Amino acid sequence: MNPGLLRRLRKSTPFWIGVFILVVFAAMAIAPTFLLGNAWPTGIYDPVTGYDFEVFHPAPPSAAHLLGTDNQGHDVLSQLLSATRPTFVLATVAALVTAISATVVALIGAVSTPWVDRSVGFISDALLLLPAPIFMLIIGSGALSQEIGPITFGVIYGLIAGIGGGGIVLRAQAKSIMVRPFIDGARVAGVSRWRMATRHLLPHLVPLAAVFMLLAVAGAVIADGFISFLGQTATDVSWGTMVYWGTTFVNPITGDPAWNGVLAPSVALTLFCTAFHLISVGVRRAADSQQ
Amino acid sequence: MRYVAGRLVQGLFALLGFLTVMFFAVQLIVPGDYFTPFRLGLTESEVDALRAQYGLDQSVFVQYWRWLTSLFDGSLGTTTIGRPISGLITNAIPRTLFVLVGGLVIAFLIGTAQGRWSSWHRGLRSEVVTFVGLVFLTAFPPFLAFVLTERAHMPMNELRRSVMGESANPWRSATTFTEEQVLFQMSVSLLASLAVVAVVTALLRRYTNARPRPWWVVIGGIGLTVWWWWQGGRGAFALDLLFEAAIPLFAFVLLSYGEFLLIMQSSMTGVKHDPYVLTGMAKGLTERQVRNRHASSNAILPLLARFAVSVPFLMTGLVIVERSLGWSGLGDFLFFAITAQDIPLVMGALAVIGAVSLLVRIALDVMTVSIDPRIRRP
Repeated sequence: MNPGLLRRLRKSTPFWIGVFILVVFAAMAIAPTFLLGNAWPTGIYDPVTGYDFEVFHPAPPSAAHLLGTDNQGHDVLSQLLSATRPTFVLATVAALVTAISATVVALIGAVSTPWVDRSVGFISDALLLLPAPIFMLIIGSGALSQEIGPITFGVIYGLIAGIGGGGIVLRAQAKSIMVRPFIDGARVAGVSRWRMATRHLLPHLVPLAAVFMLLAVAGAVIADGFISFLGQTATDVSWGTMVYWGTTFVNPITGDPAWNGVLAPSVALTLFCTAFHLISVGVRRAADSQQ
Repeated sequence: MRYVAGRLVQGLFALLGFLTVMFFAVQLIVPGDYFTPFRLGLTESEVDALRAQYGLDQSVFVQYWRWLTSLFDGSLGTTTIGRPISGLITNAIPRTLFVLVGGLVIAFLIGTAQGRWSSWHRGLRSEVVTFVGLVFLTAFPPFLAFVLTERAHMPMNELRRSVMGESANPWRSATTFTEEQVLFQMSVSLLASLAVVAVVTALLRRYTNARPRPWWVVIGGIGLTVWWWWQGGRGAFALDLLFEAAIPLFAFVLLSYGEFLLIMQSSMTGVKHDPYVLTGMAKGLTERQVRNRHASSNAILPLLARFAVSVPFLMTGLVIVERSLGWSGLGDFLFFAITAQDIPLVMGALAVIGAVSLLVRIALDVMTVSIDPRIRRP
């Protein structure tokens, strides 16, 4: 990273809008710690067992239930807030692991011997054939399913996405940088391989790695939503299970789903991914206008 | 040609390595076998006898060898209780193939056209177009599928009834073809007419000076496909199936066109300030001509390269759509196999999904090589 890039990033509107949305989500992730048991009695507002006997479910939004309740009597806002934390952890872990593993693959590919490069490329090609959510589904159906928390999920997803898709794109970028004149200059000056990779190549890979990291987040969150929609994670409440509950337990009289319970997590998911997308647009524009 | 063969061999080795790793990984991750979830009150010795009968008591390596040999003779082995997997999978492939091919073509056309347009015009309207694409790209697929089945199913059935007549099935009882055969034929003819259209436009460009208008190309392609369907004598059946496939197809297009839009937009922005764009303007070409011919044909190359990487993500979207809409293609099939813990079946489905992504990737590579004169080999 150099100061020019950071300065442009600071002026970028999409970047700041994205950061703002993320800050709101972070606040949402912390909120249940303070609200549950204090302002919200656990018996009524608990995301899994809560039930309000004083209103008829599903209830439209009111002062007591800001987003209403679903057909089972859960408070939708409380569910949404409790589901934000696992998603937030998952997204952060997945983003970091994706970026790091993709960069490592690219650096190995660029500075090591052709033989090592080829075998790393082979592993990337093979991993690219595996859609990560499907792999997570296989894991989730096994004996380990109760141990797959958000962190494990993020690590596995990040490894698959980073070594597979991200590694291939970054490796191509690294190779196109390796033929530029300044690399030849460094080589003539007798720079070691390690130093070449970290000092000369890495700074040019960081913007692209950032973009890829943020794109991987959307994939990871949707995959987690899908798997919890199918009931295969250890997480109690997540956006995916909310959609599952909302669409499964329909109103016994009208046959309608609880639209507030279905819409709220879907809108949250889209907004969350949009935030990361806006940040990646900001980083890309800053990096593009620099060149 | 040699390039294609090289890519194919390399890809096949990658696929084989991937499947081997997956075989052992699945054995490790999902302990137990077919008889673990389906014991149905059998005693331990009876289960052991069943295991011995179906060869599940042998070591992992013996099972692996058996599976590997069955992969090479093309039968993909049998399920644990002895039904041939290749038969089951060929029943599922046409449904997936049709939605995948049809959906990708439509999504490509819509996505690139919008990306081209919105990268050229800055302003509120272009931001809105981008945002709508982004919303669908990041929409939660089961939610989208749910809304579609809830709201689009009834009108679609009404439409189908008014077009096809009250009793929906005279076409089906009249023919001897199965749905799968007709769907397979539909996807193959779609691919074939795509190839024909591509070759004809390329020839026209090379030997005459005529450049066919994009809309004529699209209409010609659709016409050729439909003509092909009727040619087989099962046009009505195909139309009926098309009504059935419309909702999964629509869902898949919605989920994937945003990807094309975003990539096209960023790569168009990259070429917008290149010198040849300025030259084109200076020559007196209209902005539209410069954008649609000169800039977009240069921007399409990064699109293809980036798209190769997103193939597995698109496959995932398809799996999710199939699962949520009950469209019994490969995704639905794989899910069933996983819940039944039938490892040969899971491996069969994974092999086919891997092979499909591999083929799409190689097709993309070939397209890149044939479009870009700089990397075309002598």
